[in-house]
Amino acid sequence: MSTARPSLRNSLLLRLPLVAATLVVLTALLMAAGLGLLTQRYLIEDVDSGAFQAMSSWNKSLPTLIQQDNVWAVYEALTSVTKADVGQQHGAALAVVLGANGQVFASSDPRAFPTARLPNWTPLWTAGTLRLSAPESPVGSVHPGLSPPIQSGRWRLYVSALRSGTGPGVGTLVYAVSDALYQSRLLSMLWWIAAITALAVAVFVPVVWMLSRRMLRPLGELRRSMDLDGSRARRVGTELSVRSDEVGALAGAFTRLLEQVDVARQAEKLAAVGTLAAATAHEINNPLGGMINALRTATRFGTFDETTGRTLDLLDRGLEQLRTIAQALLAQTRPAERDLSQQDFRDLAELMTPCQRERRVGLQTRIDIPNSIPVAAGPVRQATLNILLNACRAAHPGGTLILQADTAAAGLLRIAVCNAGEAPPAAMMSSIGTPSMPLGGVGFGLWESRRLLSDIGGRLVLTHADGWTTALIEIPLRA
Amino acid sequence: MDRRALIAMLGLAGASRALAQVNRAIGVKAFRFGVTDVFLHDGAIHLWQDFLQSRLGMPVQIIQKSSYQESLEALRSDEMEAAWICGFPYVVAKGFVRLCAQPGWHGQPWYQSYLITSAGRTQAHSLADLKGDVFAFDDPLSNSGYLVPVVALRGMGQTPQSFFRGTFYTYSLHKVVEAVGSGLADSGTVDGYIWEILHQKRSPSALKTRIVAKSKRYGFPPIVTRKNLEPTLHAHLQHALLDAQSFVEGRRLLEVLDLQTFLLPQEGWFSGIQELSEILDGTHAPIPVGAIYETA
Repeated sequence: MSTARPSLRNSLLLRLPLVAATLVVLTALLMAAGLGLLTQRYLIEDVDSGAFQAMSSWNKSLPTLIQQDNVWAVYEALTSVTKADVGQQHGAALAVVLGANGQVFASSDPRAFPTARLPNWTPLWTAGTLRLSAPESPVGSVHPGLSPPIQSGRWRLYVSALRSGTGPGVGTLVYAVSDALYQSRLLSMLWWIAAITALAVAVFVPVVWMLSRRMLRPLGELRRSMDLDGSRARRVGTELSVRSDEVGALAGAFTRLLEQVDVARQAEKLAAVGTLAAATAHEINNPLGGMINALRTATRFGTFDETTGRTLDLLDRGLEQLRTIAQALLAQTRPAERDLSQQDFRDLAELMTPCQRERRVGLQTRIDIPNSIPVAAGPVRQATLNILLNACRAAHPGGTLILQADTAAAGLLRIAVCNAGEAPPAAMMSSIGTPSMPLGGVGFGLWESRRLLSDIGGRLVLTHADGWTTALIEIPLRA
Repeated sequence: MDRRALIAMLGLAGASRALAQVNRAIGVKAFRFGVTDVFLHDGAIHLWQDFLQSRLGMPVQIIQKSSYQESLEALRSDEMEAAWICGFPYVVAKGFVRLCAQPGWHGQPWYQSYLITSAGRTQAHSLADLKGDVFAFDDPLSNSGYLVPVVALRGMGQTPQSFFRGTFYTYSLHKVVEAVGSGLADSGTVDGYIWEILHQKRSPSALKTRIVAKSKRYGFPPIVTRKNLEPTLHAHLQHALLDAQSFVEGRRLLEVLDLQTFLLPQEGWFSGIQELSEILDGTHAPIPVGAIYETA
């Protein structure tokens, strides 16, 4: 397992809170931008609304004043609005009234638009700078006769023909409002929006960071448990697996994985023990053979008193049992060394002789197989021997064991071991189905047989019916 | 009891208290005193009212008119008992008004008409230099704000229409200053008393103007009463004004108006305006510009 220090590159525990915090910041910025644009739109709408109201008011009052040739009153009417609009901002609004002769009748800024002179519009627009724009609100529609605003550089222009009643036009009114009029307010409001956004970010980013870290804490514990030893890791996993969320499911899966790893380690240990046992058996088997040959030669050709004869016979049986065990160990450690043959079944029958004698049990063999069968001889021999020994010990004294083997089913070697006797203990029956080694030694032979068979793709089924216990082995033939 | 007979019985001396008691007893209407936008100063209306009520011993209503024409109409139609008007309206309305008191500016019954232009226009030094301007007048019945420059133009063989590019009326002397200061008018004509006070108070508009020429001295705008006003009331008002310095309310009013005293008016002080009026009417031969304007 990796013990690298968590970093943005390799840790979701950092990346997810960071992503959440970044999303908060982006959302806040997006909302601030939207609010800013909306504010600008409303301010322009406000400017339009105010301008249209002023124009409507002027349209009613100015024609009469123009007809009275009352320059000062027109000037006062214009400046009463422009100075109120302008407030502290000099030059942010401008109104010009042209007489019927096209000359300036009066303006709110007489120095820019001198009275009784043709107007020079340069301060407001030059060729190509005019851009007709729709009003920001339908306010213009309630003031019929007023033109839509005209954008010219930083000026927003409103133009109206001045008429006295239904008579001919007496002049033209041009009202210009500088963008500066609303931009200072916009700037002020943007500062507020920025301040509130900064405050929201300052508050919510730590909250989101803390909450997401808190939600991910169990995942972090699970991650750290991976660096612990098996038992402590399993304890953490067990504690977390009670959760009902995804972390609980992950912890459960992690715990099961740890258990499987333990089983695998146990199997490895057994394999190592087997290897050691095989080496030991190999070293024992050769001298043991010599000792048996020597003993039997002496027995056949020598003359011994009765006591010595019984002793030699006892030695012969003991040595034979030792060789049986040694050969069984050798067979177990060479699972793929050779195909199974009829001789292996004869060997098994031979190996069973001591137990038969001890238990006074007979053995019937029905071997209907070719001379060589493409299955690993070692595991099959060991598994069958284990089962035979179990059956021998379980059989009633004076009873009979049955060993059958055939390849009647296509691609399958089937071996059956039957004995008459009591039903096997429940622990033994269950030992076949569990991947874990049975505790207390009960059913260990069957468990080991099942494990050996499963290694070569075979299976073991144990049944008991009508006073007969049957162990059925099925092994697929090698291709 | 007849009100006029009762007042005559009481006499003038120490009559204030008695007059007030009588007025209250008979439910007399308020004394109506007219002013125009020309001479208004901050708080002046309130001070006029305080002063006149304290001295006349009767309710006083200050009526503000927007032009001299309106003031004269109000006097002639008995809508006002007295008014502060200009010398030219007095000359015009001699038939139904009479002099009551003469404000004394610097203690003198005189003032001048100023030709003014923007402060940056330093090359203009006479009426002739203002040819082609947009020119701001005060009131068609104003001596300093209309009569003086128009008569001067007549001496040059010109009329406002021929001499100027455009003209307009503001119906307020301080608005003439504002019109010239803002550039709405290139030049204008204004009461020297008003311009000096505005300049003295550092008025932004006044500071944007300069004097092109000053006229000769003319009679200061007088306070008049309608001729059909009860003589005792006329005398009572005149006495109150002439004695204004003796009372707190009077001193406060004079201080705000930047005046030193009220004088007993003399008909001869308005002879100059009378002459200008006759020239305007065509009953007097024009006089040279030099006889009207001094240099600035």
